[in-house]
Amino acid sequence: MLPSDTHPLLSITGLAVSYGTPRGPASAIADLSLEIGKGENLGLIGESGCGKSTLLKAVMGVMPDNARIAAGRIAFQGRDLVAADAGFRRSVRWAGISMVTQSALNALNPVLRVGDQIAEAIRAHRDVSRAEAWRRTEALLTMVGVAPERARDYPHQFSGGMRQRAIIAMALALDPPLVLADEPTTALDVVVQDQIFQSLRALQQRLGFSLLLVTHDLALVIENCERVAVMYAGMIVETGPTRDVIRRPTHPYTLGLKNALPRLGSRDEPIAIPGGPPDLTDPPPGCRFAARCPFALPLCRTEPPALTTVAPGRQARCHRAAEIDALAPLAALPQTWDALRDAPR
Amino acid sequence: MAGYLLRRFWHMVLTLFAMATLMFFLFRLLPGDPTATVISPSLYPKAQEAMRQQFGLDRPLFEQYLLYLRNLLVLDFGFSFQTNRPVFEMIQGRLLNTLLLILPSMFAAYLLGAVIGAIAAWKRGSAGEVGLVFTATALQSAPLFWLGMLAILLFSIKLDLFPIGHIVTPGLFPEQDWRMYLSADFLHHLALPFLVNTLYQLCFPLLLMRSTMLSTIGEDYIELARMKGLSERRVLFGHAARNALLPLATTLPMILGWAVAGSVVIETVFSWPGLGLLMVEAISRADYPVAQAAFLLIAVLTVFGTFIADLLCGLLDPRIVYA
Amino acid sequence: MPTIILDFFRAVWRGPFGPTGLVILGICLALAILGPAIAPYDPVARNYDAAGKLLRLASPSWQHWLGTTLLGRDVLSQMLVGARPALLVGGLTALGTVLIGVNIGLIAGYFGGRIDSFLMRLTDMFLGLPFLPFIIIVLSLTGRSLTTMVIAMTLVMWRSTARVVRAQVLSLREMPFIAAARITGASDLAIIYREIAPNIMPIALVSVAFALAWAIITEASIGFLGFGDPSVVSWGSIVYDAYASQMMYRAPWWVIPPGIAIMVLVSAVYFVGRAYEQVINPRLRTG
Repeated sequence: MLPSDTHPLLSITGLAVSYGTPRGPASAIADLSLEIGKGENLGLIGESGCGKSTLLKAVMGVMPDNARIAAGRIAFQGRDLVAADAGFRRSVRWAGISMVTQSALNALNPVLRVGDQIAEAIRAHRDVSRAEAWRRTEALLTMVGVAPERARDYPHQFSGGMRQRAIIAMALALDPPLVLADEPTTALDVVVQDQIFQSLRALQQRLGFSLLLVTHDLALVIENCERVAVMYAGMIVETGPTRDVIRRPTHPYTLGLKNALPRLGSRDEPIAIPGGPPDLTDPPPGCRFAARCPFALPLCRTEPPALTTVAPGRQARCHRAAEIDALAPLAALPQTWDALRDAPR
Repeated sequence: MAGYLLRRFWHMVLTLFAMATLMFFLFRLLPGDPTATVISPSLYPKAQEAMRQQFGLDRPLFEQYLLYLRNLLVLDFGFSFQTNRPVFEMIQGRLLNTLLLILPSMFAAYLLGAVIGAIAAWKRGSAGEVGLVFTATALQSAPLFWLGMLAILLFSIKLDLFPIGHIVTPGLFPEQDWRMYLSADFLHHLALPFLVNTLYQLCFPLLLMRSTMLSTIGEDYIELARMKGLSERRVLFGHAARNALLPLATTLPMILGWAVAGSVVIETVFSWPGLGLLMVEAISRADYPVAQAAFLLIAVLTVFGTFIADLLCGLLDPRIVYA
Repeated sequence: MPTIILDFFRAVWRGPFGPTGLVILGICLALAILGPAIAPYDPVARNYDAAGKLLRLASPSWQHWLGTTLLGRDVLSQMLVGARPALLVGGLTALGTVLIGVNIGLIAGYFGGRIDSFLMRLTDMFLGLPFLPFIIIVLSLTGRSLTTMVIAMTLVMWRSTARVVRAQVLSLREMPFIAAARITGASDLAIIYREIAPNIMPIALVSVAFALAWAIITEASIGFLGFGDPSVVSWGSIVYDAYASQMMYRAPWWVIPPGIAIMVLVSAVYFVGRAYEQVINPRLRTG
């Protein structure tokens, strides 16, 4: 393997994933490129159905039978996972890239002890005895703030927050360099949500893993990630340092997302973006956001924009990225979006 | 746990009581002459009169009922019309014979069914799997008595591998001699009905195991298990199969009930001297006391089987708390 | 009601198994209606050869496609006639089972409380009742007829349907549209039969299929054990005659066809039932 420091930890280039559906293939991800460096925190934001989960499944290599990677590379430490053989892929799973899933869903098998579910991940990759794996499991649980004797419990005996901690412990079981987190705190109340993120960040400081946080909650990204990528209908539409992107978005979709954030000291109602994502079995020929964009030009409906560098470290996929400073004030007005709501599509 | 056991046990007693009551009224009310099902018509009038008094048939129905219940409690089922021996003597050995055939066979059926069903789910979509599902459905749809007859036709008559029926070669052992159960001759007789019953009974657990496993494959914990880098085999047998065992176990009581009730058929085909055959023969000969006792014993087996199987489910599913 | 039947056929028509099952069921139904009319011989008449000798256990020939029985009866004719009792008993039992089971399940699930626990205790008791032995006893005490058979079988078989339906009703009861109906002042009966019942029709249809399969097999088993209606030729009674004659092993043509007929018919019912179940329960569709 090549020395890892000459390559970004994870580098996705030109990825395209499509699903077979009764109405033909749906392009769930198109021309997607992403990079995560060592120790970095990247937030991936987008509404549900934008392809976030598909991306994670593609990276983890657990795509459903009807999905296939049509193009692109997913390189982990410089080695392409898409083309790699099954043995290598399996060795990267969890040991190289692990994942913190939503605990609200059935991520833990209800009929197996929590400790066993963590220990089996260790034993799948390391040649250790049952007792050793169990000791490591108890240490992991302690690390995430769960009493080690609870390892013998079943998932239903855990509270929602504890289950989430157990899943984090599971994700860190093999000291992976990269952890993916998929809406990790969606179903938890705000206080617990905060605690979980605090310990996640503390663990990151200690262990130095990189984190890809996938969420629809912009506030979480602002608090936890130094870089952000905004996803819409299977494509990255904007990426850059979180602070810059939030302060000065260069894509109308990001402007719209920002509008939906509740602003401190403002009485204005948050403004929602009207309409819904396009039908991905028949994606629009131009910009995928054009139908919902108040600034769309005729060009936007025919010509797909490319992801271009708009400033150092910042990219956007918009024909009008250059004029964004003029458009941004308009985007903050409800009327701008209302006009779109009333107009026939 | 103790409370649950007690309540479950109480329900069992209640069910059996209801069944005994049902039997009482069926046998006393349905036929024209209520005494016809209790007292053998072949007895001398004097003996008939003695029995009429013993079973209280000259008294009101309700008193008869109480007497009937009391007799059941002390396992007094009356006398066989056929042999004039106490019924209890006749059904004792039959119970063991039925259990020796049905229990091992059901155990094998569930074990094999679960394993083969899991493998079928693993190899989903392959030609072998489609063929297996098709065969299992067809076997399950075939009448058990007919499968038994085909097996006799093929393995006993054409190939001469197994005896045609009975539990041991007639005349080899004195009647009801326990040593016969230890003989090779007994196993030789057991083999074919055991195989046929197992083959027939394993179709249901097989198909159920396959379909529940396929439905758990979409669950998040299965996806997570895959992401953990577990081998496909571990994902299926350690996670999916473990979860599919639950629905499988919950069907066990029902299937055990069917199997015990179905023993009537398999025992008839193979002339296996169990409770089922005893009941069929007794009914054909209008030997009602024997038929009734055999039925009640089959019911006890069914209800008790349900009870055990329920407890088993509790052991498999940690979410069930005996409250 | 008609729309659900239409949906049923539309759902089952997809995939290879459903249509296969439907076609087989159609053929059996045609036989049940036309069987006696197209049977080449009287199923209980003795047949003689040209020399006037009784055709005992004649092997299949052009005159008798499936051979003859010990009494010289034509097996093919018996087979054709035997479809009717199988479908008649099966169909009526399935219908009765579902009628009783659905209603008990609806009432237990909707009202809950004491009514529910009483009905469920009753169901549990019936679940402990040994099915085939019970029916044999009832038949032997009341006389062997198809009517008694249907009644006895229905009396026991409703138990599984009731359980399945009740479980479904329990979850439906908490749905917003039920609360809405209650607020508008609909009576309990109206809610049960107008709001809830249509939603459990799919599950009721699945249980019709499984009840049908079971009833057909049971009818044959009863026939085989010799407790069937003595005046009716059924597939089960053909096997019984062969078995009782002790000659079955010399005349495979006498024993094999009725078993195959039952197997094919019941498989067809299962195919249709499973195909429909997969459509109404998408979780089963994976893989």
